[in-house]
Amino acid sequence: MEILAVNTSHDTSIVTFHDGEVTNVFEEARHRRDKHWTPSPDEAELITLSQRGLHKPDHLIFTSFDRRGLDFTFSDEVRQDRLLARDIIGAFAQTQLTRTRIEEIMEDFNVDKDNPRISVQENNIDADEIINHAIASQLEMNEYVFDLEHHLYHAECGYYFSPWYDKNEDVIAITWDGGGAQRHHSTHPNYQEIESIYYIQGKETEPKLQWQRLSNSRSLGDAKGGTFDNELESCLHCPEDLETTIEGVPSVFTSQPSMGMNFSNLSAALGCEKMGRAPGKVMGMASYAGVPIMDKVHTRHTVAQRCELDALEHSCDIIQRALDMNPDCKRIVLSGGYSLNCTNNYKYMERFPEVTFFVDPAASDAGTAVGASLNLARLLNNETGESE
Amino acid sequence: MMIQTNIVRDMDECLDLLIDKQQIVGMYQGSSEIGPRALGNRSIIFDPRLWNAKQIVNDVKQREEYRPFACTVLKENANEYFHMLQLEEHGSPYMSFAIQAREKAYKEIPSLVHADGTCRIQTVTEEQNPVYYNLIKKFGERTGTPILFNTSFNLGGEALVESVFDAIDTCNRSMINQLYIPEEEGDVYIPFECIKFKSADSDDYENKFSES
Repeated sequence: MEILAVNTSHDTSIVTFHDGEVTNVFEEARHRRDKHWTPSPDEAELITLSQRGLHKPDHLIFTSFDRRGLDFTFSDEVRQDRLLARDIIGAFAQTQLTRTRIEEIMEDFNVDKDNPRISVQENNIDADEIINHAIASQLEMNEYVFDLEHHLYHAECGYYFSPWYDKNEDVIAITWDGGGAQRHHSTHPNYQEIESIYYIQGKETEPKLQWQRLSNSRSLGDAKGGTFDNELESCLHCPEDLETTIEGVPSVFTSQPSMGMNFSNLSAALGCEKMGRAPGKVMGMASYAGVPIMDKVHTRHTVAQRCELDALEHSCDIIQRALDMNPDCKRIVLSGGYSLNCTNNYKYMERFPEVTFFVDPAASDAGTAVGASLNLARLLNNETGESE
Repeated sequence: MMIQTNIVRDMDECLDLLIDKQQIVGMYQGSSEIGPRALGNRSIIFDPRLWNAKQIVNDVKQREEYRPFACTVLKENANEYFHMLQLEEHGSPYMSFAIQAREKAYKEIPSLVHADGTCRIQTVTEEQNPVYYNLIKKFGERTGTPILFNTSFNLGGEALVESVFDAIDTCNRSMINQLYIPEEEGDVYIPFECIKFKSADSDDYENKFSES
């Protein structure tokens, strides 16, 4: 059985899976010489496929970070009437958003149906499918699998590379990421998974999702400043987290950005990198906080250190939660982009001396293609008994 | 003065460049690593004992001065230099932890110990990467320090090199003059036009840092 798995988010990667083994991983960015390259509906063909002579596989699976989104627009009436705007912001900030709640707000405020004060539009709804279709066409494939399991694939990848995979030992897998898929977009729009805890019993068993946190912070924009428009945009922000259960899984809906996004935003704000995707640089800066020789940029370094320490406490809480859920397991696999925080990775070992940690070597989104291929292979084996 | 990228195939010659001539060497072998870290197949290596090694490589790679660098150490020696904690058994083969340095690291590889007293290390075994392991082992036999300065084979903001052409191109555009392609790789096809002359006068790091 041959599987080709393609990650179409940033750090685009292609994985070939043959006879039960991951045989090759290719990263498109390296072939293009363009760091973190991401396909778009306008540019979706992968040069790696032709350069590496990859042919039509038996099965094709795509994984992505999910490009969908719900956009809110406010009428001029709202922009000009501060009191009305304040009421709308108050309504949005009352609770974390659900489709039902949005309908209620629309009902309350859109009195005149011909001139709505608030309108809402699905954005980028087909972008992933356009990209997937273009790549599938390159491979002359008509059928493919596309499943929104970004964090699950990170966890599977981390487990695969860990020393416990070959021994078929159980692990706790924690995925913490800048963002992920909007798996509950139909009921809770705009929330991306940012932290997930899985228990993996062994390589033949589907990982069990035990807990997840989802954030709608992407709606907030990137610290654009205090204009009235931005204030309206940020009305999606609710200060209180919503704790609930989705499909039997304890879930937290929040408006706080993930640790990874915090680092990326801080990286951009501190002038480390214009694209912002450089948490390693923030960690490098944080280390110099209070070091006299770096006085000229002392403030930047202190801010970075504050962010690092906050993230450390938050991530230790998640680790503790995972251990409480699985008291008999002391093996933890860390995956997702935030696992690239090597400084804090070491501090977890100091805080939890009884635990052995393994960090996914492909913790960026490139690794999700590895996880997707493993997951599909297991699924095919279980459902059809297709031989590896 | 105009120079070309020098391609080295012999391990001892590579060690001479690193130890005697204190050259920065691009190392290219086998398949590229998955993920963001260079683990000895697409790496830039350097003598970690130099007190200003970090300054030199940051300058060559056009990176910010506050950013730390990583190193590769033989797994059997890792705990002599670093507090490995729970990593003693499996090591740190993928460079995922910034590990607290011991006194020996401060003394022997000072420029690799970051401001917070840590170093992001990769441990290597012969089973994982035989050529890289033996290179570091021999480096250790000659210098007493079984550690190599290791950073990704790219320039600031660029993707890691993939092909041998990318590797040479990176050398052509930087002050990296030596490219080590181990003889275990067998014949490597490099078109003549790929090798270009570049200026090596005042910008060359040997001259630039010689008075440091």
